[in-house]
Amino acid sequence: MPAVTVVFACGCIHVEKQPTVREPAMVPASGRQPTSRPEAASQARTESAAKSPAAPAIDPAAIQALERMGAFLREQRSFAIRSDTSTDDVLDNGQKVQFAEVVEMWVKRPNRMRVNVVSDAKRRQSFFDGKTFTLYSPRLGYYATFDAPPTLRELIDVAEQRYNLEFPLVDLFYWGTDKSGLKDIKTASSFGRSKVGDYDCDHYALQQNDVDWQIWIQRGAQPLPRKLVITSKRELGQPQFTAVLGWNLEPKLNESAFMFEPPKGARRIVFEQAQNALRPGG
Amino acid sequence: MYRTHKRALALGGALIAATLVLGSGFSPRSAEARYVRNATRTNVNANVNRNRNVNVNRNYNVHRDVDVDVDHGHYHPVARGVAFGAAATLTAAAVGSVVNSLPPSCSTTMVNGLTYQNCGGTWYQPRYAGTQVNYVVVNPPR
Repeated sequence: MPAVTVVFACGCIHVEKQPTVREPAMVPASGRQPTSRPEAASQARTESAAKSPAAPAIDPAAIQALERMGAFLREQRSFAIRSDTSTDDVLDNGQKVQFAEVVEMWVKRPNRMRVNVVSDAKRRQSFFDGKTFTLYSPRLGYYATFDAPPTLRELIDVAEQRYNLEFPLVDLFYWGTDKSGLKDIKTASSFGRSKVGDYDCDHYALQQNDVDWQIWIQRGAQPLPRKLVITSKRELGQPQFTAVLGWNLEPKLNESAFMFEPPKGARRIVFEQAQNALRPGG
Repeated sequence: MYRTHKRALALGGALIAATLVLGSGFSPRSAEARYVRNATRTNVNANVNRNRNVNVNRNYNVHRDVDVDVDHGHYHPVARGVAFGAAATLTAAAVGSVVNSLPPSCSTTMVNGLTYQNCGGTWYQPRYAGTQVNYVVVNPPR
């Protein structure tokens, strides 16, 4: 719940119209038992009591499936992904339109990552070679770099907190870790077998405070996420983000793919730092 | 409210879009005034795990790479049609103002290895706000 978060974060004075309830999002983790999770369930029940007498449930099988998927993702030392995404854009006139984007990502743990993003509106490439992070806009010719921390995990945090850079599909890097966010889940349901392209999957639906989401996890020995749908239910029009994922768990990764060499004509620019942004000069 | 302030960004993913600006210490009004609005702003979660950094809130101000490149194969009339006009109205731009696109006829200058755009005597410094390129009006670099 974004707006509320900001209130607490910066003491902003302009959030008075937002609901000021701090959600009880932080249900105690209470271990990893994929059992009934009574605290989460009762928490959710309290919240929705006014609207619905039915107690939302957390299907342990769904949580178990997420944990199994997370563990499998953690085991992968290198992988390549192609994500075909579509994202809703709610126009000022209320109309919802959908835009497509392709994200390609090559990852070699613990310290290499390359991302290519291509949409109608823009192109971005990012490079992490274990030392430096670079963001490059091929059409604009702009690039910017910062000295990166030594691992992907740290990079993701630094990029987000210092430069407001959120990597695409960043959940893939959190699932299976202590930041998996599973404790934020209020309800979890299983819908059984479902195909995503050629892949036989199981379909799950989860609810959190500000998002509802669905995930299709491949059946069998490789429990990979094949499709993800995220609904921003607190936003006008409830826009959705959808990603269909293609996986290569044995990619051929050339070291040069992670290194940035400024092409001829490329020009260096700066990153706006998050701290500065919170205190714009003037 | 979420339409007017907050910070944001997004690498690709959230990808479509990104940016916007501001932060605390500013009333919504002054923050708004500092930015040229040329697009819709939709706050679409592209990841489930958010709010790790409580200081960051994401708004996605959708705009294209319209500045230096002219690769306009695609057009978004409702949300983005006013980009150039809006930027152009900001002639006597105050230092510190931020725009999403430049007025026409700028020349690129490198100073100390960094890029600046001189647009009829007003100097802009391009920068990444998240993954979105925007331009902050600066004093003439030297």
